[in-house]
Amino acid sequence: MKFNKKMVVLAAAGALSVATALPAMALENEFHGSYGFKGFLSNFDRAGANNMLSSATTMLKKENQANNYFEQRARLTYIAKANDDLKMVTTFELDTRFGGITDGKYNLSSDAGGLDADGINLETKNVYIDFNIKPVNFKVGIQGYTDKLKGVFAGGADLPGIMTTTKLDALTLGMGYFRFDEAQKTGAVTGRLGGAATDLFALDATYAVSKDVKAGLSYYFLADYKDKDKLLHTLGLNGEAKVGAVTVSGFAAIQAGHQKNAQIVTGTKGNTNFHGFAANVAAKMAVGPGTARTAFLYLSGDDKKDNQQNAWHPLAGLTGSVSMYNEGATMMLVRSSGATGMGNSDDYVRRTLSDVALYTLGYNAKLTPKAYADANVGVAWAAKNSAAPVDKATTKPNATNYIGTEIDVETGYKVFDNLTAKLQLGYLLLGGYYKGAAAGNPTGQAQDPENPYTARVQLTYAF
Amino acid sequence: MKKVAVMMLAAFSMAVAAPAFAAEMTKEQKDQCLLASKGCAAEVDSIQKKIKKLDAEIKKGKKVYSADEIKKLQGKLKEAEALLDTLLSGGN
Repeated sequence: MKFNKKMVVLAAAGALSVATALPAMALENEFHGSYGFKGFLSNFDRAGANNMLSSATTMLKKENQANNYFEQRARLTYIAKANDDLKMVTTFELDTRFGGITDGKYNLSSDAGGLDADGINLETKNVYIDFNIKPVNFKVGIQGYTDKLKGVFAGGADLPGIMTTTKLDALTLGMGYFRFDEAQKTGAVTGRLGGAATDLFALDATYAVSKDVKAGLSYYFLADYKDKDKLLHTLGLNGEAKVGAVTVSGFAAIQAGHQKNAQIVTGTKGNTNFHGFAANVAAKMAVGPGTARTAFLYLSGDDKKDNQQNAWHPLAGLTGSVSMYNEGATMMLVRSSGATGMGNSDDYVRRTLSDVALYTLGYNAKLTPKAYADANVGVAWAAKNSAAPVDKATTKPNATNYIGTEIDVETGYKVFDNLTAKLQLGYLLLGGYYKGAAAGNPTGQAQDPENPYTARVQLTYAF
Repeated sequence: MKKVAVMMLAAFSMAVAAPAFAAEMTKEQKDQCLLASKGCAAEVDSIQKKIKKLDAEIKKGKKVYSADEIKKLQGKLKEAEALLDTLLSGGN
């Protein structure tokens, strides 16, 4: 009898330990990733990250030989999910151009594109934890962030910080803090950490008026104390509505702020004041076997006549780019994620999203469950022609704002469920903005630069 | 008493062992995992398969799931679609 009692106790203890141990043991490991191969034949794309046709080195000549090159990009994502309310997300990236790169960030090794590979080219893209303390979702760490202005301020930007998203019935409130630059980063500067850093505060409020109507308010505050004190406020309104078969969306945003002891006009003194403006309206609807879409984007420019900076200022500044405008889907005019796709090449006329008006009209057709074809036309103007290239005949900057008209076609076929083969073709008819501005010509011998074109084959695998 | 214990033990061991037996191939069966990379024990869903499965479950609607559960599945679908977007997005 005594023995039996012991057995019962042991069995109960065993059962209890199994029961309690199980939830702790249940860790879900998720692996995902993607691979993109791209082959280029283009007088425009050159595996760089440039604002093309903006300077002597990026301007095209009257006649150009086409670049031909191949590149690949792979992304690997590992997610460690403890439960529905806690996970860690990591994403790494491996870029290689066939033939290899040994300068820049690869200067101690290579990007593995040479003979025998052996490159050191694993990059960190995202490392963050994601957890819920209801009703708030927290993301802490290096993460992707896209603004509610269709990415024209910060689009597909990866940056370290803390993002919270709170859902209260129809209201979704996003609040984030990011730090992405720091005077101390090289160790050469002495001083306190955080004293001269670049921080972004983001607030995104979205209210679902009904199932088909959403309205939002955004406020972004860029506090850049790294170089010269720059404080930039961006205030935006956005909305989306489904009216019958048509989805209409848009935004408008203004910027205000200043940068101490910084001048646009050389030889002057004082501060630069910011007065950027951005607006967009877009519509799409299902027509026949696909979707027709049209959109207009305006990003202000500056006349460079005084220290009032009227150009739209994206997060990375007036020369860099962590901004995207995906609605346009142009391959050469304005930076777009879809047209860039899986690859390292990132050349656009407006890679920095500023100083442009872009009208686009396109149609995405689903031909069969496995095949698609897209067509797209984009017309672009400079918002201000203060940066217009010089016509070498008149030695004056061109007076027109018309950048050009781009015509794109893309077709793709799903070889397997998760492997797609694509062909992209783009041609840009340059406008009067580039008249007589061909590179390499001396003054007085004006020629128009050759029209840019690009042809790309792609293989994209995601799992 | 002993008889009952032995029977229970036997039943328990069979229950535990049964899935292991099922996974093994008989002499006449082909190993589809080795042959065609299908039905492997450690197989996991691709992101596209996960999206399809979530979509299918959401379509079952309120006959199968409660409103809260559907909302949860929709949240997971949105998350999976966002991950696929991130994996394929251009830029840095």
